Amino acid sequence: MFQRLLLLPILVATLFTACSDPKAPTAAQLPIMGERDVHPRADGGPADTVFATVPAFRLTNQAGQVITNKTFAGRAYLADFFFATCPGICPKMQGELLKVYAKYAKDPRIVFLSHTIDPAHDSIPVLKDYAQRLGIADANRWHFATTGAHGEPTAKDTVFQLARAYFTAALPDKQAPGGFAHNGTFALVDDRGHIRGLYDSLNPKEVDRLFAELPILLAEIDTRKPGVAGR
Amino acid sequence: MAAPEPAPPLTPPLPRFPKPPLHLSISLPRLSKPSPDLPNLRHASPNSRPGLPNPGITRKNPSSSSSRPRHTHAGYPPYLWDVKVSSKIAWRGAIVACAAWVAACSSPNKPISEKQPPSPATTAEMALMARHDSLMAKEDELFALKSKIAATHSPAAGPYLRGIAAADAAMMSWMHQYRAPDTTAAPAARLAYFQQQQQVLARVSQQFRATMDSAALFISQHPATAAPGTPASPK
Repeated sequence: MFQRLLLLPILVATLFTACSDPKAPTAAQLPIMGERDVHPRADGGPADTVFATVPAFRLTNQAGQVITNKTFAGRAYLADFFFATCPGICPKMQGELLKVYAKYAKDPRIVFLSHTIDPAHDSIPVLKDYAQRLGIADANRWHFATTGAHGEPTAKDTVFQLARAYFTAALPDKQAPGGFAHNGTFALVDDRGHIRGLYDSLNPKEVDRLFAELPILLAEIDTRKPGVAGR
Repeated sequence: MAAPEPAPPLTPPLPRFPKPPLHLSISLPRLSKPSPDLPNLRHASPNSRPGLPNPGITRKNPSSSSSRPRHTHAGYPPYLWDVKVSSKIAWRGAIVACAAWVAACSSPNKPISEKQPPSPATTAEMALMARHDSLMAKEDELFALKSKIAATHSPAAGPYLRGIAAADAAMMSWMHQYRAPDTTAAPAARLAYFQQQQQVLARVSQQFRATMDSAALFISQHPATAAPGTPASPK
């Protein structure tokens, strides 16, 4: 009985201390989108949660450089799908992405990746010309990439599967809106390959949301860099 | 016996200020004919306070308007015809209105503003782009069907795969040949181009629908392929 009476104030004091700690981290973070798997641990400890990631890919950009998931390791990137002869939504979509690029052109923490969904037409020279017309001189900052640099017969199948995978990685299949490769959506991917946001480029409010949320992700990435996390 | 004089007040009397003139009236329903002594404030402008000029609009003094026949309703004071606008202001207003009218009508090539309805050519272009976007959204579905058909490894799948390839090629061919006329082109020429392209795209749309229906039927006849595919991992 005496021991219980002794434990009660200790418990109260512990709770009070935990609730009033002014140094508790409260930094805002973007959600990790998509399905997640819970893997029980063999040692009986807390289960591991595995979040969905962008699938493995291998593309070629407008400079002829091969780019894979590793190209973007440690950096965030904004991805979209387009094609050079698109008369519909693509010009507006790329124009909106250009605004984001203009703000972060010198920021090494983020790069840009536009996939062509017309690999038969959008060859490397076409992509290079397209980039130049947008004013993108550095292919390492904004990749205009194709799955069919060498005339692969399944290049279009591959890019459509990739587009679908981006959205199904971000949304459960039942919620995915369809028209994945041509709906004007930007996908914000973090330094670990998780999709952290989807933004409708045709909606100004969504673009504003992207501008508001991008610094949050970059700040989170900063905390994972050695020498920055301790600040 | 004389009455006693009233006691003097304990405090000196307050100075009497002249009663301020009545400038505002409470707008209650008038149940009776208003007093002719009260000014008619219905047409009073903010500048019509005493001592301030009321530029442009002068109100006739009711007492001096006997030379003009008064049109009153049931004895009420006149309203609109009680206001006289100076000729100078009237001329200025007329000139400004004419200038605005001329400016609005003298530019046949003026850009389309948000308040104006789009031209027939612009409407036709928007309809064309809507159909294009709709078909591009179906491209996803087309390639999803293609992957399901290919996964059957059925020798009968060949025509369906070729049909999907042909539908995709028709769509891509349309986009590669499409050249939207410049907005400075003649409106009739723009309208004719968009209408002609709409017909071409309508045929592509029919091809899409027939191909997708056939592919869906083929997949339904091969239940093993109807299961949803796993997320792709293109590499």
